[in-house]
Amino acid sequence: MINNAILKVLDVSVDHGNRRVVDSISFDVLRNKILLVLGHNGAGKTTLVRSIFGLHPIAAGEVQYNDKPITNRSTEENVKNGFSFVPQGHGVFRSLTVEENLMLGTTHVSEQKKIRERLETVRELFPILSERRAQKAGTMSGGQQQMLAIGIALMQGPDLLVLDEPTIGLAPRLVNQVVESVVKIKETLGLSVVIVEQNIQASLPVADGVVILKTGRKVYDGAPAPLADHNKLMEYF
Amino acid sequence: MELLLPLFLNGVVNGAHYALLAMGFGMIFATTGVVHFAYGPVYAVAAYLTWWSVTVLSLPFLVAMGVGIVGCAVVGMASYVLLYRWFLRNDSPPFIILVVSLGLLMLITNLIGVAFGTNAKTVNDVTYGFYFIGSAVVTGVQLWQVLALVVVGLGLAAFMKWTAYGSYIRAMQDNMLMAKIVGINTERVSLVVFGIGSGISGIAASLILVKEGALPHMGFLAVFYAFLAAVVGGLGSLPGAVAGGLILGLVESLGVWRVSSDWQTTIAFGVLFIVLIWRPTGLWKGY
Ligand SMILES: Nc1ncnc2c1ncn2[C@@H]1O[C@H](COP(=O)(O)OP(=O)(O)OP(=O)(O)O)[C@@H](O)[C@H]1O
Ligand SMILES: [Mg+2]
Repeated sequence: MINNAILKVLDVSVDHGNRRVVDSISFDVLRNKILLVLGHNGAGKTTLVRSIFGLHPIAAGEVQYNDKPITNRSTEENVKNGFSFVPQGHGVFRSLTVEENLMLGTTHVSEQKKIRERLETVRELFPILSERRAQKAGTMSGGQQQMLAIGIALMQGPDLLVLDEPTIGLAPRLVNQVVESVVKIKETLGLSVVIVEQNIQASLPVADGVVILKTGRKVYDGAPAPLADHNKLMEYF
Repeated sequence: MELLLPLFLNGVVNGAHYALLAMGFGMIFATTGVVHFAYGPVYAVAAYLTWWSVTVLSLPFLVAMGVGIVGCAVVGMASYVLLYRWFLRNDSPPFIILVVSLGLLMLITNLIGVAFGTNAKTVNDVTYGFYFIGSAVVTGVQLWQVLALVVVGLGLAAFMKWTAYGSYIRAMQDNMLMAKIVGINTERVSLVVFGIGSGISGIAASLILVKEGALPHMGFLAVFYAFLAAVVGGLGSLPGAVAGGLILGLVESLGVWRVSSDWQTTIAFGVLFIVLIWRPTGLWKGY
């Protein structure tokens, strides 16, 4: 049987100091699907995804990417292998230009042709980035910076893209724009996507699967449909 | 009035020396977050290696200078690999790393004293000319000091702007977390930065050796001035380091025109306070 999961998280636990912040969590990320990770403030979502990506040590458990263990692997190795991460907050280099930011996404790409193609894709997706290419990233609006952050990740040519609260702090109109662009990325580039979100309204409709965390434990893992019922959803928060 | 020109030239020369020191020190701090006080004795290592190469190995000065610079870069990289990296990996608070750095400063200073003795080392075989600028005399070494700043400054600026490593360094200075996220091997880049930063101080050290000789504790004042000039100019900024160094050198030198030279260090601190009250992050920001 062909394994349909690009990423498998198996009983992963993570500590901050002596405190267990993520407690024995398991889930699969399916190919070419969007997995939504929900949870209240401080539930451990950021800690979980950062650890999976190699930014914070995993205390116990295993992570498999394309059926190979990648537990506590360096971010450099992950990026080289098509696993990209967009962090919470403005994941850009503020003092560098838009163009320089995008080029830093190609740290491990040597083929000029690929770089040009990806630059083209990113500019088509976010035209504002090509208008503002010489502008310092820090002088752009929050929404533009978020688009740039996603653009940097796309320059890496990922198969798996993990986004930590990509819509936080954005105006409602921009929230939908960012969510829509993520859907478009998934569809046109055939990516697998994990979105960590608080904005359930905007993200639930595009999700193929949902995992909900509550103080470091998984309390839901299943289809998005049942959660459309507000009362049902609130049970998990 | 005729004192003014020599004082001015002397200020520029000393300022060029401080600027070189500030460049390396500021680059290391801005990229890795390490306040590398051991930068001082590592700089002294270069002076001693150059001295040793000239007097013991009888190497030509330029070759000896190369030995000093490379040796100094190696010691700088070793201090990262053997010491700082461990603390950085474990997310030690900056205060701890500061103490570690002070410890390393004492250690290397003492080792130099043990290895070479505490008397001054001078090189007498290196000859250089004297030149007149108006009524003032400058020596060849002083010209080299200024030239070194120009060459290293332009070289470093080009490196930062045009090379892949330069862009990684700028990325790390801007946002260390994002640098890791885009897959930059931040430890390897940090190692390179410790090498380059220390190597730059090695250039300054070899020239000071010719000018004033070497003493085991020569690094104390050097790192102190590097720190001051870098902070005045804006930590991590290349034009800032140049400006900070020159301002410091000039104010110190011209200050002597009116007050006793006992006040030199006090004047340097005066400059620091005034600039920081006016602009709390220094004169420049970023590259
Ligand atoms: N660097 C840290 N050191 C110590 N504790 C931390 C650290 N970062 C997070 N924590 C703690 O870990 C827990 C989980 O935090 P985390 O940031 O993973 O939550 P989150 O679900 O992403 O929250 P939010 O929705 O607010 O981003 C919280 O209780 C937080 O206080
Ligand atoms: Mg979070």
